[in-house]
Amino acid sequence: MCQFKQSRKLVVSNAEGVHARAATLIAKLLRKFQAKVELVKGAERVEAGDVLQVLSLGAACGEELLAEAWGPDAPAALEALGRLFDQQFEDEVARQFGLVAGERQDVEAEPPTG
Amino acid sequence: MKFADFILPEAIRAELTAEDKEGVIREMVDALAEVGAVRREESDSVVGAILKREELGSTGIGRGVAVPHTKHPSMERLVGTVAVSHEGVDFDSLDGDKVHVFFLLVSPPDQPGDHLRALEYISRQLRDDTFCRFLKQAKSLEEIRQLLAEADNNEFGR
Repeated sequence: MCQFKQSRKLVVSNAEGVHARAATLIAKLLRKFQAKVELVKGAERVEAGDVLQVLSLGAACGEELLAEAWGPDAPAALEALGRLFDQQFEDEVARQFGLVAGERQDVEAEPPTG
Repeated sequence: MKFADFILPEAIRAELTAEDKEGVIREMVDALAEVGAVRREESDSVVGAILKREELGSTGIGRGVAVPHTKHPSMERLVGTVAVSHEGVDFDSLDGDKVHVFFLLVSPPDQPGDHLRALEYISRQLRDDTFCRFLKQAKSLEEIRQLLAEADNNEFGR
């Protein structure tokens, strides 16, 4: 089975940065994937699925993180993570992924086509 | 930022009496009000804001830790307190476990940077298993204060 690393740059665009709610959403999202995902900020590398580790990055608005993933669904995991960041962890995207109440049934991470 | 910059030592609680989420939050906000960090007349509003934030998603982040927080217009600066429950409180945590250590933060609406830095610092310290364990086992106010001071002095290896 291929275990090549996939990478994606993430930009923190919400004013509050990657705060407690954001870090929790990231952890909940990544539970839906088999991939191992890490976040890198400068010299620091943390497990993306660990809320405490992610919070310890103190990723503020405007900062860039690098997400690295390994595993069969690594591309999908990174795509989903990218959407979460791009849409600033808003309720709607969290619901689309089934991470909060009022969740939709289509919890697949593949981006909409067309 | 260090604990000394935002945790009010007089508002620390070494043994919470509350047995549920709302009770814990009230007890900790009352502690802040007692030392004047939160205006007494704003206590209920602050508690309400924290509970509303909890509805968006529990701040029980696993490992027996919770970081309830809110922004509030009555605040001029970030303040925080720490509390320990040896019995543990059900906080709808991410890992399903009871919470034993609570860091509560209240901040002004227009200072997201301070709030994030405080969360970052709390998280960095709690990543140290020894610090986390000692905090959960702390039996007195003095013990908790000592632990926070030692953390601020980088005495826990990370």
